[in-house]
Amino acid sequence: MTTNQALYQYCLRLGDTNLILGHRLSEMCSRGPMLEEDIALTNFALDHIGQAEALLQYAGKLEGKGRSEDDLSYLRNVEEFENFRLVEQPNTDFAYVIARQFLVDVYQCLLYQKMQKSTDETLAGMGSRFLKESTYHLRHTSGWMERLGLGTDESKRRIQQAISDLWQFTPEMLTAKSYEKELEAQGIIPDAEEIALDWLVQVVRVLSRSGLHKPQDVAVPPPISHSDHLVRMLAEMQYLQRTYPDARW
Amino acid sequence: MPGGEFYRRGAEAQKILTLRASYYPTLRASVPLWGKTYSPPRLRTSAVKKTYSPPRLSASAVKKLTMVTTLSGIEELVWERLSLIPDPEIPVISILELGIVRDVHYDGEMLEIVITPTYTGCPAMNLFVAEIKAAMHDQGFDNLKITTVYSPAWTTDLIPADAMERLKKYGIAPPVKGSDDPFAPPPAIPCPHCGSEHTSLVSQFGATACKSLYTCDDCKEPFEYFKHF
Repeated sequence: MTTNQALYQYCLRLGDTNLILGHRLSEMCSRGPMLEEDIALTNFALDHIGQAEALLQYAGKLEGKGRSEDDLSYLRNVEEFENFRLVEQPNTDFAYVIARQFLVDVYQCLLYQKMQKSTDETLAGMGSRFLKESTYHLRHTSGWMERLGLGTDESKRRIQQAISDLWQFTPEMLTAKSYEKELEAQGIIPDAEEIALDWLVQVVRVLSRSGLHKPQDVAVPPPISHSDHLVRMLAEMQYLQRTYPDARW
Repeated sequence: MPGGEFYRRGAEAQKILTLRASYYPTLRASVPLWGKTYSPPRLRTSAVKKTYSPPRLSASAVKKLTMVTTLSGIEELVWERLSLIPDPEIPVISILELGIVRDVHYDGEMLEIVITPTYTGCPAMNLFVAEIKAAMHDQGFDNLKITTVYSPAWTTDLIPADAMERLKKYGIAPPVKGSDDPFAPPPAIPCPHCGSEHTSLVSQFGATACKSLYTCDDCKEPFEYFKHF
């Protein structure tokens, strides 16, 4: 695999993660528990979809087959999506939305912080841009972790449940793919192991501040393939472009 | 040719009017509200005209424009014209002060304007581009290319001090630079009305994605804060 191909895969992985998370959050539009939260979650969605746009546009350029960010989003099948399985998990309840977002926010803050120093100018630029957005997300979600964890017995039970359920998907997010090693060595992308260590420290810090405990690491990781949740989401997301190819607003 | 016909209207200008109308829906829509039809207060025609008529170059600039022949001189005037385009959300600062225009190239045939997005999902970005296109079309540049770059990233640190002052007078607290560490607590935001630093965050996300909502604990006034990016 050449450097360009590896970087294409990497941008696809980050871009898809943002796209799918953005779409999941957009499902919360008009379903937030209160007005401010509705606006916050849809603002998150906007940021993630914006990040996906930039990353997938760059991926398309690296691939060199003339595919745009829209082609990559709407015209690939489920098995071609590279997103973390964590972000395709459904909005079971508000605690799941916040827990999922919090786990990703810590990861993205660390990732983008280190990505600013990338030897690739485009990635470095995106890193410093996205970091500022993710910082606002993280402040918001860590605030909610505390409020839910230290709130009522019911809110504590639910947020702990959500964190424990989603924990099994975090190793996939924190483990580098084989093609990333070469990119890491060249200083193009940040070191995944470093991020994983910092991630655990930051997550545990917020969990303990919120009166929650770190779940047990699972012995058997969940299957590699995408879940049915993603299939359903793509069916909805891609429906228009698939039915009416090249449809525009 | 630039400098020839000064104020030409075209398809591009029509497009921007449509886009503006969709961007400010309250100005045209009557919406059902609690079983009644709610019509927004009508602006006087003169007020609408005042809000929407595109800014024009000063008479001296027009005079200069008709005399300028060098490429760099034309680029300079393009910068000047760009400085007249207000931010659609915050009309007291221009898109140049906001810092989204990175470069202007003119080779005698094609005009290229290099921009950088404020932040990646900004819904106003399309309007910025349309405003730039319309303004340039008005100046007779038909062969126009808008290029988007991501690096170096846009930051509110580049907004000039006098524009920050205007923001404050407009009632929006200007961006405050906090720590670079994403895990550090956010900085205190001074109230734009009384200057007190005893303020509380009401909502991280406000009416537009670039602003948060605060209230002042001393003068009790609510205010918007332009987030630091």
